[in-house]
Amino acid sequence: MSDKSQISELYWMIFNEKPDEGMQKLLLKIFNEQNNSIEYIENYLRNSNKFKKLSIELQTELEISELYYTLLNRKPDTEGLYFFKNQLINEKKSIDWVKESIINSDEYKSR
Amino acid sequence: MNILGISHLEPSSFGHYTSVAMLDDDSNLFAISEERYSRIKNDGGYPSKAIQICLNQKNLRLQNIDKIAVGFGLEKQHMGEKIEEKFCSYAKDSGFKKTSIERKNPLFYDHQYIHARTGYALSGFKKALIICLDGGGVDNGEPNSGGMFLADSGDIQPIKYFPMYHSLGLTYGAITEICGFTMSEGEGKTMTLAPMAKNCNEEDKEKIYQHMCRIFPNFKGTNVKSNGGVTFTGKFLHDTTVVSVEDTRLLLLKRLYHKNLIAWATQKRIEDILIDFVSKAVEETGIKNIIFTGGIFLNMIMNMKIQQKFGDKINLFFNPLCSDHGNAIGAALEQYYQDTGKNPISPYMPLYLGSSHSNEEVLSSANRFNFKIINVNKIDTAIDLIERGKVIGWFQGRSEFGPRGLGNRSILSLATDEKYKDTVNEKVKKREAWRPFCPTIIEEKSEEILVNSTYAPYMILGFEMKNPELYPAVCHVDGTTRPQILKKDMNPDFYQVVKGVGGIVLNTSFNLAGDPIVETPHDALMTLKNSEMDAIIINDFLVEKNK
Repeated sequence: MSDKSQISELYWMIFNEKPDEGMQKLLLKIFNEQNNSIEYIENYLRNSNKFKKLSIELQTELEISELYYTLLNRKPDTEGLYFFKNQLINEKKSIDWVKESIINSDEYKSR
Repeated sequence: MNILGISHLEPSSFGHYTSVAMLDDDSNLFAISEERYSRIKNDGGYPSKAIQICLNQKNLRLQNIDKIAVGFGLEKQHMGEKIEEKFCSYAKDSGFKKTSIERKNPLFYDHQYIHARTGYALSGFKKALIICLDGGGVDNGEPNSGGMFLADSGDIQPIKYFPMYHSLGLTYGAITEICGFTMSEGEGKTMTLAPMAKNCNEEDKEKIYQHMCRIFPNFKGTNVKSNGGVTFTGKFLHDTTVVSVEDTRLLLLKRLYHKNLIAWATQKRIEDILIDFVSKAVEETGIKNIIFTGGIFLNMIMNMKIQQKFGDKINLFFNPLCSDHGNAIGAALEQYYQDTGKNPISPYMPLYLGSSHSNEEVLSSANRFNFKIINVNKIDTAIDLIERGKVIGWFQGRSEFGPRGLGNRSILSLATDEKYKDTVNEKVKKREAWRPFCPTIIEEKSEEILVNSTYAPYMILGFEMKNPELYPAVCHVDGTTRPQILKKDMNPDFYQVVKGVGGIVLNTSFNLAGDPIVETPHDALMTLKNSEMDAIIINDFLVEKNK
């Protein structure tokens, strides 16, 4: 795998998107300066402000997903995931509220 | 009476580690995995070659085999009939006449039960609790992911089975995929990755561990209750299972955390589950001998934690043939027990159960390569080369059964300098630089080197090192090692070599990354050709590349 695609793949894994051209060039430069260390690039990306912002969202999705698996024994559907994510991040609801909502759902009651 | 034991799951997509064992009236045991001759790592195909090699040992034909026993557990009802039919027709397609296999009326024994039989036979215990955990199997016609058994005076009785959706093995496998390795092959890499997180942020560690507690099945002692288990999507091929993880939690963890942290949390979680589980099992049964078997127990750092926690109060035995390879031997042992009421093998037996090769075969194979070959005193030559800092292949006698090179198909070098680890990883085995190696330590030296040393001849049990800085080539970043502790009578020639280089040597299986361990002189010579190993010693010959 080429250096460029190795970096792109890592970027995709973390951010679920391709790096833009400027970012690609920057990462390639850092990669070369750091003895072709992909580990260094991963740490660099995980310490970025972009990742810090993203990790709040991912952490929220993870907590919701865990409730789905625990209470409903299935992965969350996209609609449910985004509904609860919005409630937690924008409406400042608590994770206990999400749990209560799932427990009060018809799906949970019919299990 | 000749019994052929087979571990093979064809036509299921989960077939892997196909192996065959042959046991005769004189308790001679020969065992080999199909991969050793097909040269396909973890080969799950029908064992045509392995069966033929077994028969060749005593110049037998299939009609001379009295019984065939299969240790994958599908003998009941519809499933049993179906697999039997397919097994026989598959055998036909693979070169053995359908009728010749069919007439043997293969007996299909239960999967976890056969894991239990293998561990029990090797342990030497009379009465014992057997804990069996793996990815999955079938017992009593039902899929499961492990079981508990009580063994006494030869008989083994199941206490309970654990359902598939608790599978610790599959969950660990899914995390292996998330860490970027291949399920059923890369679990050892996940385990060795775990200590690499030692400098990670403690807050992150706590957070990810809590997530892992929700993902991994929650074994509450012997009363299993779980919301765990992971989800997969699978595309099934003939011999290989292509599985991709679609569990949202794991995919999010992959984005959120570095793989070292994921591996660390997984390792801690599985250790905590097992320690809790063993505590409860001991409490409930009051038993003083425990045998651990099933693929989960290839995790020698988890085994080390169990040993540290219970080793001074209870007798523990970790089965070196705990993965599905071992069920070929287990099936043959079970059949022998059914027929005679006896266990034909001795406790802690050597695992040199494969083929050996004559000097004539070595010379004949060497003729096909442009190598320098000379007759030498093998022990003195090996000691001299290793002491001079060379990396050598050591090929002697019968091959080892199972995944470890235990001194008959081994690559050896000094353990006292980190550069040997780097050289063997990079230039010889051609694998990742961070991966550690195991040592062989002669028994007399083991207390000096290891914390709480106990007899461990199979590289299945980890230990902390007393002075890791003295042996950096065989010590992982957390100060642990996974040794073969060698008694002289286990392998006298190899013992002399290890003793001659100070009682400890780096010993890794004789293969390149992605290849099965070498079986024949030809395989060994190919490995020399394709690596930067300095030399190999095959039987009484030193083989070197011409400069």
